Amino acid sequence: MASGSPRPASGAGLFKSPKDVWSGVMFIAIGALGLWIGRDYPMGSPVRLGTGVFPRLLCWGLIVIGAIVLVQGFIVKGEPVGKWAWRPIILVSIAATLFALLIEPAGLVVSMIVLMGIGALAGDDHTIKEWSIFSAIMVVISVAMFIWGLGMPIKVFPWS
Amino acid sequence: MELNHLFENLSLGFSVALTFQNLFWCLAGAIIGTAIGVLPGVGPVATMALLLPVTYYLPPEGALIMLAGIYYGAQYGGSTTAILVNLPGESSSVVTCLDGYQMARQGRAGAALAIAAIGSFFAGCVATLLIAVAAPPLTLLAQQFGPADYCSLMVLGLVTAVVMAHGSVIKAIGMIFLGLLLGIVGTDVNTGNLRYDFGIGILFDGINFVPIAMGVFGINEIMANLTNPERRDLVSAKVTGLMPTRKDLTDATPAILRGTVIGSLLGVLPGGGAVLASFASYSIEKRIAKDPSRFGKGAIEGVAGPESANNAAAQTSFIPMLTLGIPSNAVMAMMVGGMMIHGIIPGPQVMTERPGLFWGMIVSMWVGNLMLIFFNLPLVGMWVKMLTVPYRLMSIAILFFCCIGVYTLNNSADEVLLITFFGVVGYIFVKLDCEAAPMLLGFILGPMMETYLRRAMLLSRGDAMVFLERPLSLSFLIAAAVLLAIIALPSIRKTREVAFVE
Repeated sequence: MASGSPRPASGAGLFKSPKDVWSGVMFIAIGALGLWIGRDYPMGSPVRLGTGVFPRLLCWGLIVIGAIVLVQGFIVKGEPVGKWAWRPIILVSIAATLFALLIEPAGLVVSMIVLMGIGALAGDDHTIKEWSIFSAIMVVISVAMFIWGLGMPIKVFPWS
Repeated sequence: MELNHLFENLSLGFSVALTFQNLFWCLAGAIIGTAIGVLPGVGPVATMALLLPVTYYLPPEGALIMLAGIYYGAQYGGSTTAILVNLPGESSSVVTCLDGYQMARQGRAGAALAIAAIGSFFAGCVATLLIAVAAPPLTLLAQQFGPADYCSLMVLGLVTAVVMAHGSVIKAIGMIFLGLLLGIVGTDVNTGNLRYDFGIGILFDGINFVPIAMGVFGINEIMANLTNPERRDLVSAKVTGLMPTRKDLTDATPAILRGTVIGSLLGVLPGGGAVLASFASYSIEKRIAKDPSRFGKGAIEGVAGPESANNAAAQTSFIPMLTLGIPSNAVMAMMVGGMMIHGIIPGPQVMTERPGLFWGMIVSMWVGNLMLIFFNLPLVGMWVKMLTVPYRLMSIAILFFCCIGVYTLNNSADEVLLITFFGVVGYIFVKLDCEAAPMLLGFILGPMMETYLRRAMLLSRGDAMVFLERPLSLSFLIAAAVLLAIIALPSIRKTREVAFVE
């Protein structure tokens, strides 16, 4: 579903409403995937509904809704998907992922600086000076609040 | 019984809400709420998601009182930005920009702010009283519901939420289904079977509410906001003449009364809430005004009505959540999340089993409103200063708070990866115009709905007709079907679009 590449065409061509077409594709894909993964979930009996009943209901629902949205996307004119903000998406994701990987081995201070550093690259017009002051304040506040104040069991420094 | 009980309940509530600790959490929630209400781009849903992990460290009363404070505090704060900067701090303040900003440009910012606060306070008082009066009988009624009735009621609730929301109805239904599906990930409580766990450890117990909410409402907003730089045109940092004139008051009073009624009614409906209420109030004020052309040029009714309506609706939207356990919008879903963190299952039993919590929270809303009217206006200068913090700095602070918040919930780094995933997914939803709020409602209701479905089938010995045979269940389903049919009619769809564009 993530392959919904930006299409400059708006309303013209086969996809009258690209947003609807891709939404429909997304719903159908998730429903189909859910059915396939859940193909062995037992159905049980009407009195004792099994594990598989509710998921199947929902997945078929998703497929039907997806189909309606998809058809609508071919008929009714709508908006193009628009540009993807690749830089924030990728950098914010990297920043959060690194934070997850670093918080336990490297402690709060290091993981915070990495997170806020990469996070800053996602936005425009940061200056080093402003960023440094702001990050320093944030680090002090967080250590005071989370570790001293709330007593959360997180390391402060890699060596502590 | 009624009046005596009401006093008894309220005094119990006061005894809980007025403890030093709870007063503090109420104030904290109200201030945080006002602050994020003032800031465009940070909404109450994201903030409540951010603070959910922190509430884990508080007693349940303090936690819920603070979370509630964030919501109504945001209604107050949103109007400040709308009036002074012509930007809606909150989506419920969009219409306040129209006349509020014009009043500010005419040098009447003080009067506009004061009227917004007075209207909000009045509406908040009425709505709180309404909750106190309406909750007990509704709770009694809800206790009569069988599993089939509950299941159908949830269907009705979800359908109403879709109908009231803006945007495509069919996509919103799709998002609800998606939410329901996400809600049942993990171990099936009835059979112990694992579902959709992908062999990932943290999914065995189901997806946690906090990472999904933070990802879709917090991380995703950072990604989206960083690409749309905003403009902020401050009228003037100095606000003088806070006191409205006598004429202002006489003009505004009927609008405040009407706004309160409209807001209180719309707040109770699923999916209604503050945004819809403020829009409805504005269009009604404009329609019944003797001289509609004044609107958009600084008519005080255009501030007083919507601001009263959005606060009233913010309060009364607690009614279905408190009495039936059914969240009617994303904010109430957060409240349910806050309850579940403390092991409280929302529903009619909350009032009978934890009366202190229930009434304490209701009374705290009134206390919080009272506090807001006192410190909100004097602090306007500080709020305005806060608007000068650039979003590029706020975004990294929010990003950090999201990550650390989710981490501390279970001391699990894997959950941080989960918010990253839901952040990206949430961004895709925004790009495709698929709203995340219905998904969140579905997510909360998914496990409950399945449980009630199974229980209903068990009780009826496998006869699905039970949903049509029980009168309550049948009427809920008919109401849901009628709503869907109405929304499918083209003529109504058109007026609905107009109503949201206006």
